[in-house]
Amino acid sequence: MRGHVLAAAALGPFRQGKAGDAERLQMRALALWRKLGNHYELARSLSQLGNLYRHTARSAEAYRCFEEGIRLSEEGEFRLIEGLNRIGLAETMYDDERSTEALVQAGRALDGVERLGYALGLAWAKRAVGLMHYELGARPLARRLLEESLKEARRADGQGWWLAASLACVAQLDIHDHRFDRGRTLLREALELSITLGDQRMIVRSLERLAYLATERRLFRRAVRLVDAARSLRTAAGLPRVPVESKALKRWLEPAELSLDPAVRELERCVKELGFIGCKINPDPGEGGLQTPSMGDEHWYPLYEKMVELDVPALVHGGPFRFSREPELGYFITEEAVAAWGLLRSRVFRDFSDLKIIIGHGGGYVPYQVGRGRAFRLNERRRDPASSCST
Amino acid sequence: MSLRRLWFDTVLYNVESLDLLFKVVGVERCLFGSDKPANGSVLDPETSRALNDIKPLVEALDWLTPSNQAAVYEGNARQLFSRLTTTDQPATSGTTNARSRTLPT
Repeated sequence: MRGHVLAAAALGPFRQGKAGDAERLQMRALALWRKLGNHYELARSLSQLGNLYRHTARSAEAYRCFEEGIRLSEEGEFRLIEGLNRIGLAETMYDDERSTEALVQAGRALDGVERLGYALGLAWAKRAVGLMHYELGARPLARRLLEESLKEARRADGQGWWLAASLACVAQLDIHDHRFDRGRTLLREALELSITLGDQRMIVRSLERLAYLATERRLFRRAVRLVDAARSLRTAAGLPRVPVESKALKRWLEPAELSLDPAVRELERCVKELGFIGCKINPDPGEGGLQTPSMGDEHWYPLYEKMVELDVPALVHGGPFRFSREPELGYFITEEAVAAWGLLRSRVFRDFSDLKIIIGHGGGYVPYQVGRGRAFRLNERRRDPASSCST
Repeated sequence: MSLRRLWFDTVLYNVESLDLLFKVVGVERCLFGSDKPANGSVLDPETSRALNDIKPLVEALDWLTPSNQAAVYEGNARQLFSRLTTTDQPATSGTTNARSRTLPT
């Protein structure tokens, strides 16, 4: 009985991000089960402790826990507990980029749990296997497994924790497949559940996924606000800055990482120390990845402020492009024209009346398409007479 | 916001496009540029000139006055690049500039 209390008590701190407290409680539960010779509970505690180690990037200790858990479960024929340990092992292998072994382990776990027909176990197993397949590129299979996992979680999970986890997964899938509305609905449900449950890790991850969604919808300011909120929560909860399981998170955070601070510092050094009289702006440092804000966006304001302060003009000129469809000839011209329209349709020249911007390659297609530009601006003004644009 | 709030270079390799640029954005917003040396440095088999040899294209536009040309070649850039410190005087058509006067003869 005391062991149950300790093991259950360990989940609280773990979900609040207090890994140290969770580990101490879980170790005490483990010692108690060993003393009592209760292999079923011992194997269950081992899977929980293993997951704790996995989430805190201590994979060697995680392997030891899961392997012992599997051995004990096989001896005692605890099928569900064996599945939990095997999935933990598979996820740890996956984190360590041992994908093939991970899929073998996960497949064995899923087979075992499926035979039991236990919904919560199925939700867990299908989610783990689905995520691996997804990251390895088998999208239709991943979609099927994750949708099934969500269904099982809705059916089984009275507490809502697994439901929240499954919601987040399927939402991620939806975002990747550009089903933004469904993704947002699922993420909001996950966020509400996490708040109800007081699960800090899940709250943070829901916020991060909402930020990612905002990025995909090109709502950059909202994305940065969400990322900031998630980061402060992470810090407050003592969570690792980037979780082990989410390599993708780095990519998600890119908009916030597109900081202009280094460029502003370098501009100042070049002008004041090296005698530069102008600079060049690559209007798309995201290199075609869709995450760079328009040059009319306030994202660029720190650079504009410095340019005006130093009184230097900038030449807008395309830079590297990560896709090979059209690397240079059309891409440069298009980016330069996109930059020009972005500036002209914004408040930039009202906010920085002394800003000097040169558009490269004769303005791209801007002079040729000036009639269309004028039509757009007239329509904008017709819809919103207070619009900052004039022709 | 008017197009004329921006500045433009003349990195266009055909006279029709240059003509359009000057007429649409205004000669006073254009800065001579050639992108030389780059892809455009390839020789035109018809003329044996480099494609990014832009000056003859500017000169081919007979509606540009000498002062228009001087603005494109130099004057507009001097106005824009205010940090440029040099004893040179803006060259005007038919006169020698300060740098060449200081060269040994």
